[in-house]
Amino acid sequence: MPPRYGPGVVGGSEAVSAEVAAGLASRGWEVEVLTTCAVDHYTWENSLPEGPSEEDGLLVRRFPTVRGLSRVGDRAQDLIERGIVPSLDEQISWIGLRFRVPDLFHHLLQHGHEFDAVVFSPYLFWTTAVCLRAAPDRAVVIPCLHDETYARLDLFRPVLADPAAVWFLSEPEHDLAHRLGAVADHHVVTGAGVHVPVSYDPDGFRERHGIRRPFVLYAGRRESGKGWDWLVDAFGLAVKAGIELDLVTIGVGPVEVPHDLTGRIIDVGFVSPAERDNAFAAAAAYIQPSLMESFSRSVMEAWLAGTPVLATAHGEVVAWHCARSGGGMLFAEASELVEQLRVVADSPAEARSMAERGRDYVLTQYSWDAVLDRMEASLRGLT
Amino acid sequence: MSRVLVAGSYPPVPGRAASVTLGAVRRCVDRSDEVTVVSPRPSAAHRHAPMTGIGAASTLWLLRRSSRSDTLELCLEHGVPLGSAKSELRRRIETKLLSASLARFERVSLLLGGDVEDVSETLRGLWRPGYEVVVGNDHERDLVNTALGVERASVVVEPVAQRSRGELPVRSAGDGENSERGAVTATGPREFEKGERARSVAARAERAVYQAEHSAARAARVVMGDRAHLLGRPVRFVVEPIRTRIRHRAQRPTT
Repeated sequence: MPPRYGPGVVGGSEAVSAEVAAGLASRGWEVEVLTTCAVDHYTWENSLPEGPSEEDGLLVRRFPTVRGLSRVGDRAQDLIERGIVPSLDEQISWIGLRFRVPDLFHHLLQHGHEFDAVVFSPYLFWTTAVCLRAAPDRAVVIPCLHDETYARLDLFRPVLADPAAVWFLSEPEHDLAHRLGAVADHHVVTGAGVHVPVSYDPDGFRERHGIRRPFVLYAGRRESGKGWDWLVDAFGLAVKAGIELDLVTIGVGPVEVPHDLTGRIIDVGFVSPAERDNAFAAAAAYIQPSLMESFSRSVMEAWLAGTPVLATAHGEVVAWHCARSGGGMLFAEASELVEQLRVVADSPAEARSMAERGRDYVLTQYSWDAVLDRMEASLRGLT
Repeated sequence: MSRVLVAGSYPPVPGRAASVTLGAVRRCVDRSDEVTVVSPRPSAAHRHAPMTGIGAASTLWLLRRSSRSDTLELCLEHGVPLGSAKSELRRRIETKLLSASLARFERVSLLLGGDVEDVSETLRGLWRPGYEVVVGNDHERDLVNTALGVERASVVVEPVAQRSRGELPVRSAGDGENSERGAVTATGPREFEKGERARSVAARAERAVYQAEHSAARAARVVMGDRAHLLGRPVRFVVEPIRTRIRHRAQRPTT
């Protein structure tokens, strides 16, 4: 039950949900996707038709979102952004601020018992926090937790404590959940799987997008919460230091290039999965500046493509992956990133050997077969 | 199959009242009834509308007609559907109007969404012979029978679902240092403080939209997006700036 599903939907947790659905279906589970009609996570407008449809061999049922206005909810959002947990009463007004899906809630009340399990993800949205109460005894939550103020809202305590099972994507996420409060007895670190591309076309990527110089890549939502603004500033320092690398970005969100970086930051926009893989393969390194990661698929995709990772040391999950794999370097501040970019630019062979260790790590730990084995074992414990 | 209107607090509101209302909806679904849920604040219910005093009487009167429900299941709790009236006369008028609205339904169940002491006044004012009272346990049935004089045959026991493991206890004011943080009201915090004045045109417009949203069941209807209407007239000029603001705010969550 992801809040959004379908082509054009960008988001790590949504991608995990879609791949879990496809993976379980491929192993003989009868899978239905219950989701909203929204694609845009800013407006939550109903842009896809409601009702059932068949997509990629799965039955998808979409329900319309209802949006409301609340000054109390707005005020709560302001408090959360300042790191303050609002009152429970205000949190309740806040959770319905972006969207509500009453028809989905009542569909679950009516049909929840027909499923062996209802998989909710991520923790942050109405579709999980509220709909969970419609089928708690069959609920499996993939929370995709981040260490952020949202996770400390009282409203989300039942999301971790009440379901039949919780699936975590990494050990740091699991530890964070225990720090936040009660966790359902049945919980397991399943991880998430990453598909291994058959081949890459890095030269084609450079040619199609007119990229002449070696570059480092940023993939995902271009939002300050994901570290994009920080990265642009830090990259500016690298350019001033004379490092001959461009910054290429793929994904969604506005890209405002500072005047002095014109021509050095290249926005390729939203690309197909195959072209995304080509971008990873073409890059000299992948930069992950986001603190808010529960798994970080893009880091896995970079390693699979043979590309080293430069990641913030303040992001617990990616730091954990880097420490376990030896496939990346961690920076605590902009000056460290600049030095690492210099290593990538000057010693590509060293960078590639680091990436090889990362690739081995992904293939051993996060193949879909291994992840689905863990998920199926958990599901069999419920049914 | 009958058409049922279920009214009361509803998820994500925590606590007994919402659990009792949810339990009533589940029973309707199990019986394959066609159910419409209305709650006093935005929730998983199909609709939200004023559910206190005269507003509640009006809501139930209008929804009886629009949902064509013949059965009403009304969850009673502190403040819903009777709040603390300013005067005895006002209380009597509210009770009369609510009773008149309830009388339009063929079958009425009054569900105990709070302690018997909290809702005894409301129950005493609204109960009529032929109405069913749904309580959570035998002790409450005895209390309703002896203290309020409701005949035992009209009282049904439906155990309330166990409290969620992760749910904070709903605290009342003055209950320790976290009382403010944990207290939940059936109708939610006030969107506009009493006496608050809108001084600018933009503030007036904002207030008009917010208030229209809150009095949806009383005729004005605002739907966000291209089909925004207020009393049947397009209100995009008011909605657009607010929508932009919401879009800006919505950028923060980063899952």
